[in-house]
Order: sequence, then structure tokens, then C-alpha cells
Amino acid sequence: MISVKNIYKDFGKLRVLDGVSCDIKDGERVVIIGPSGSGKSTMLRCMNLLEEPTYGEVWIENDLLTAPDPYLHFDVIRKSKTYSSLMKSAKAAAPGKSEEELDTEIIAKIKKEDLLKRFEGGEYSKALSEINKESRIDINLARRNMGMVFQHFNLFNNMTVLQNLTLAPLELKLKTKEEAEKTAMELLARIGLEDKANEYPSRLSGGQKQRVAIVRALAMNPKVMLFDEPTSALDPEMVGEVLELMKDLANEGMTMVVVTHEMGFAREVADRVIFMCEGKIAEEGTPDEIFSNPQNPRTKQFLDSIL
Amino acid sequence: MKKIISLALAVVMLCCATIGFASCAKEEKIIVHTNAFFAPFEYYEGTEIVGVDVEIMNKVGEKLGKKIEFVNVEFSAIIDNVKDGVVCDAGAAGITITDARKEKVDFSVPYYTSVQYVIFKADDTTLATKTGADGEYMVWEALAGKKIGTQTDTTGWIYTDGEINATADNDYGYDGVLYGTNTELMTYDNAQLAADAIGANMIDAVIIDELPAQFIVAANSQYKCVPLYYSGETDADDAPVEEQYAICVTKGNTELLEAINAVLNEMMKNGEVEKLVMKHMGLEK
Amino acid sequence: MDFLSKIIELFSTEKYMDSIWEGLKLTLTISILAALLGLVLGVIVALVGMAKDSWAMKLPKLLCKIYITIIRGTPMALQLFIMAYVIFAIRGFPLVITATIAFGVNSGAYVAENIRAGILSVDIGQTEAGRALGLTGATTMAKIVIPQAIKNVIPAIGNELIALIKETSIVSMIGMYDLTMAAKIIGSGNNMASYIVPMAVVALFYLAIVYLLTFGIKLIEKRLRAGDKR
Repeated sequence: MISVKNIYKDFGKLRVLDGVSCDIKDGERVVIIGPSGSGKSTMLRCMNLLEEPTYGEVWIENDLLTAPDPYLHFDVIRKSKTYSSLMKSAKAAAPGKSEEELDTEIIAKIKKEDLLKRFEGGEYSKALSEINKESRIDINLARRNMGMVFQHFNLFNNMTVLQNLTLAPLELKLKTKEEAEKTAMELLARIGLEDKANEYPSRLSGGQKQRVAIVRALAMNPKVMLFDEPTSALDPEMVGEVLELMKDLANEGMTMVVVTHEMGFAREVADRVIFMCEGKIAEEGTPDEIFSNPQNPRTKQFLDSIL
Repeated sequence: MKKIISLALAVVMLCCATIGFASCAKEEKIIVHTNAFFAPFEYYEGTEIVGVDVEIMNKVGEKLGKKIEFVNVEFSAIIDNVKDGVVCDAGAAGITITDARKEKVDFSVPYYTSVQYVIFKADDTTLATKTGADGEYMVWEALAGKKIGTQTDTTGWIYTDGEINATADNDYGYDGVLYGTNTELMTYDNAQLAADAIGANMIDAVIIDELPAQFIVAANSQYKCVPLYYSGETDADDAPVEEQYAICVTKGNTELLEAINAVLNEMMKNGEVEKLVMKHMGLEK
Repeated sequence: MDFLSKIIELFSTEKYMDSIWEGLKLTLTISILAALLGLVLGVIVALVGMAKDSWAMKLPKLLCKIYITIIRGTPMALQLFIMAYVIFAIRGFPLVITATIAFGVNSGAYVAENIRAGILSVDIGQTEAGRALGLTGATTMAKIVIPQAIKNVIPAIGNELIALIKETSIVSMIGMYDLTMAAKIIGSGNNMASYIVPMAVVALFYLAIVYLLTFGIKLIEKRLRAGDKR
């Protein structure tokens, strides 16, 4: 479903993601945990490109969301001027070695030392644009299939609840007004808020807002839902109603990626738990493996501190 | 996108209009810069600039078969605008001939002799006047230690500045009458503003040409005005601060200058300039 | 008493009233045209200034920054002077256009800053939510951000318009016949020979214009507030 390939994210001098790769399978429920500042939210936001990775690629099924990263395509690296000049001098220095050996060495060197420049000759540029043409998808199209729920709900303050739900389907001409409103009312009925359809978000409680935000994403019929700490900004008594709705979704077979501190939810719902630390995936496994028998001392330390 | 295109079009049209103006308007009319706060020579009557200079220049226009357009600008800008000759051809604003100005523009024959006047509060006893053969007057010395208002770049301003700041040792090369007397010079955008400053107790006196001074005093009974004199050995030697008005044109524009001179010479011969002054002062019979 | 009789004299003298109407016409003309130009310029500059950093936008962004810095950093009177005596020192060039451009360009810098501040005041989460639904940047801006920003921008732009109208009073500096010039003419030696009364009267006219404008802005603000029933 979603494939994150070796992404790095720098904010100025600060490296927030330090080479993260992971695959989210169709129908899988993945929960990402980790201390604050570990990069878990950034990784989630990289999945729908709200943050653009500095290096690396994000794929959704067979579509490439990011610009192609030459370091992930050896055949592209081989077309660069840097590669050919290195190869030339390497051959001169060590005439005995086989070409394959040298190739592996040079590619490793280029990757390690980040030697590729912006312009590396026509062949190289052509190869990159080839990948672009073949696989790259318009990010706005890709996002239609990925629902996102934010920590601070981010309901559109200038619109009613109903308008919040119908805006995107209507603007993107996916539905007629009647269809969009019908779907929206059904979704609101599902969360028991159809009587709030014409209220503005400011009149809703936090829990209501977050549930509306979830169904707003559902109104687009997404294939995957991304949750970015959906309960962190809620009063404790409202956390339950939001988690309930998320569990419902999980039971329906929705593919979900959830960044959260709700370990109970993770234990109950997740197929896989990813523990992130200092911009890397420190450990991953089933909830049982992670919670009952963590291998990494950092995971242990983190779990001890919050449980 | 449409908006950007229409905006770009507007800009292009503006440029075309500008170039159009620049090329076609050049020959058709004579543009005269003035400062329409100098009755009777030029002043606004409602929304129209009228006055002695306007009538003179209209005659010049008739003679040359061109339209005359008067444009109101700051007095201090006129000489430089005429010198550049880009935005106007001539300046007619009761301009006094001075050497400094002569270096920048060509002057016509003088058509009016003016005297500098002092305006002050009628009940101001600290300003002493004298009485001579031609009536009451004031000498420069009487203004020592006072605050004097003038209009920027007028001869009143030039004279006062000279008398206050000049010494034999500096660029002026002569001793100013008011040098070292703590006399202060204040400058205003026009004569009226300076006169109002007396009423507001900001200054003590205003030095300005005779005719505007008389207009101001006629309408403000609390003010009084007398001619300004240089002191001689005796009272009888005291002499008024005289100057001559002329119309200026861009250097080298001989056609216009000759036409102006011809008109002025003729008008002065049959006393028409005097008549126009009388008419515009409202003294016409 | 003298003051009062002079006011009556001013209002009952036809040529004085002609002057005031003439001046009022020009003051309003310049104000309205310059306000429109300022709005258009301001929107463009604000959008360019807030556009994503990219190679192609580098120069436009730099130009916008320089523009705002220069305009906000120099007095209006000097800007008008330069427009009239340097940039548009062209024979027969209509002064109304010179003044409109001078004030419009000036106003644009302030409007741009107001718009920028208004847009920045809208939580970034609103944009992210819009984009995450697959809406384009432009749609998000138009449907979500701008409607929320307008409420913050309208009062600021209203203030800018008021400042603009009053600032046009310096066009008399380049000889233009606006309200302030009318006061100078009525107050000049051959007319009332005192600035005090005409200046006071003209001040009332400015006050009336600004009051009407303030009233209009209040109405718009009320409407916008009513719109979100909060």
C-alpha cells in the first residue's frame, strides 16, 4: 500500500528522520510509538507529503509521490558524470579488480559521501525524468486516497460541519451536491452528530470535532487513513469516543497508520507496532513482541517510563 | 490569470499614452509654469488661474498662434523646471531677475519694478518705522533680533538670508545688515502661510513683494505693511529694496523669448501692464 | 464671532464653494483610483511574497521585498516628488495619473503587508487539512484561508484607506487642485487672506469623508461577523 524508502528529513541543520524505510500492507493497522521528537509525526506527514522528505522516496502502490531519489536507483547513479569519472580513476589505480567489484565500491562511496550534484549530464537527467514520467503521480490525486486526521482537528472554521464534509468531494467534482450531502449526512449519523450538521466547528466539543474530522476524511473514501496523535489534544473524558470510532474503522478493515501515545489502543488494534527513536526505526513487531518482550533497551526504557 | 493579463494591458496602454503625450503634445502648446498664489500677477479665480502674467502670455500665444497652458507648481521649482525645459517652456510668476537665476534661464525684458515690503502687526510697537518723502517705511536695522518669515526661494527670502548670514569673510563677500543680531529666518511655502504665522505669534514680520503684501493687509485689518529700505547716511538717503520682474524661458528658445519681448515692449509703451495690474488688484475704474 | 462670520462668508460665496467642490472631486478621484491600484498591487505583492520558495520566484520575491522596504521606509511626500519630478517628468503628462500611481504604489506596500499578516494569522493547520484532502494550493487558499483571513484584513485595509485619503492632501505640493489646495486658494491674499477659516472648513470635509468610510467598513465587518454566526 504505502512504501517508504530510506527517507531523510532535515529541518535546517536538524536531522529529524535519519534513513527510515517501512512498508504498510493493504489492510494492515500500524501504530507508531516513540518519545517526543523521535520523528514519528514527521514520518507520518512524509507519507502524504505534508512534509517533503529531503532524501528518499514514498510510493503508494505503484505511484511515486516524491521526486525520484537517484541514490535509490543504481542504474541512474551509473549514468552520472561523477560515477564515470570515479570509475575511470579507480580502473587506473587498481587495474586488477573486476568491473563489478569496482561498481559496488563506487556506488557505496557515492551514496555514503553524497557525491551527486544537481547536474550530472544529459544521460543522468534523462534517466531521472524517465522515472518521473513513468511513476510519478500528482500529489493532489494521491492525497485523495489518503485520509489524514490531525492532533488539533483542523476543521475549517469558516464552514459548517456539513460543508466541512462536502467541500473536497464537491471542489474535486467527485460527487454532485446531493450525493455529497447524502454521504455526509450518513457519516454524521454514524457518529451521532447529524443534528450538528449546520453548526460551526466552534460550537462542538473536542471529541465531537475530532470525530467530525475523521468522517470528513472518510467522505473521500480513502484507501488508507493516517492519524497524527488524534487524541493528544483532547480532554481525557473525550478520548474514549474518538478511540471507539477508530476501532470501528479498524474492524471494517481500513488500512491505518496511527501515531499515538495510547498504548491500550495499540495493544488492542495494531497488527504491527513501530517504535521510533532519534529519527530511526529502533524496533518493530507485533504488539505482543514489543510490549511484552522488547529487544531494544530503548524500547524498554520508553515503555517503562510511560506504563 | 485573466486579471494579470488585463493589468499588464493597462500598463502597456499607460506607456503608450505616455509616449503619445511626449511626442505629439510637444509642438502644439506652450506650457508655462507659475505659482498661482501671487495676486495680481497670477492667482486662482475659483478654479481658473488668472492674472497679469496670464494675460501677457496669452497675448504671446496669440502672436505665435499657439495655445498657452498655465500649470501651478511650487515657486521654488519653477526655475529648475524651465532650465530643464522638459515639462515646460517658460516661467511666469512675477519672477525677479537675479544673477543666479540668469545662469539657469533666459529672461525677457523686465516689465514691472517691485519693492520689498514688510508685513507686521499694526499694534506691534517694537518695530520702528520712519517717515520719508514717500511716506512711512522701515529700514533693515529695525528688524534686528526679530523672527522674519519669507516664502521659499523668493527674493524676500534671498535678501533676508543674505542680510542675516553674510559677512565679508564668507562666500557672500559683504557685511549683512542683520549679521550677528540673532535675527531668525523662517521660510514658508507661500506668502499667506507666512502672514498667518504673524497672527499665530510664530514670527514678527514677513518680507514679501509689494503687491501681495498689500493684498494681505487689505484683507487683514490687524496687519500693516510698509516698504523696506536700505539705510543711507541720512533719512533722505534711505533707499527702497527694488527689483524687476521678468518672464523666463528655457535657454536657447529665442523664438519664444523674442515674441515675449515684443509683446512686453508694446504693452509697456502704451501702459497696458500698469492697467492690467490695476485691473487685477480690483482698482480698475 | 469673526470666525463664524468668515465661515458663513466661505459657504455663501460661490467661487469659494466652486473651489471646494473642485478640490473634493480631485481628492476623491485620486483616493479612489489609488486605493484600487493599491489593492491590486497589494494582493499581487502579498501573493508573490508568500509564494513557495523556488528558483523562478527568487527575483520577484526579492523585488517585492525591496519595494516594500523602500515604500515603507521613505516619506510619502518624497515619493510623490520623485514620481512627479523624476519618473513622470514628461511634458503634458496628466498629473492625476502621476498622483494616482504615487499613492497607489505607496498604498500597495501597506496593503500587501496587511494581507500577508491576515493570511499568516490563519492557522497553518487549516491549509494542511485542505491539502491533505487533495485540494490544490489555490483552492485551499480561495475556499479556506482567504475567507478566514478577510475578517482580519478588512479592518487593517480600512485603516490604510483612511490614511491614504488624508495623505492625498500633499498633492498640492505638485500644484494639484485638491481639497487642501482649495483651502490655500480660498485663504490666499486676493481672497480671504487667511488660511485659518478655509483650513478648518476643509478639515471638516476630510472628517466627513473618513467618517463615511469608517461607517462603510463597520458595515462590512458586521456582515462578515454575521456570516459565521459565532
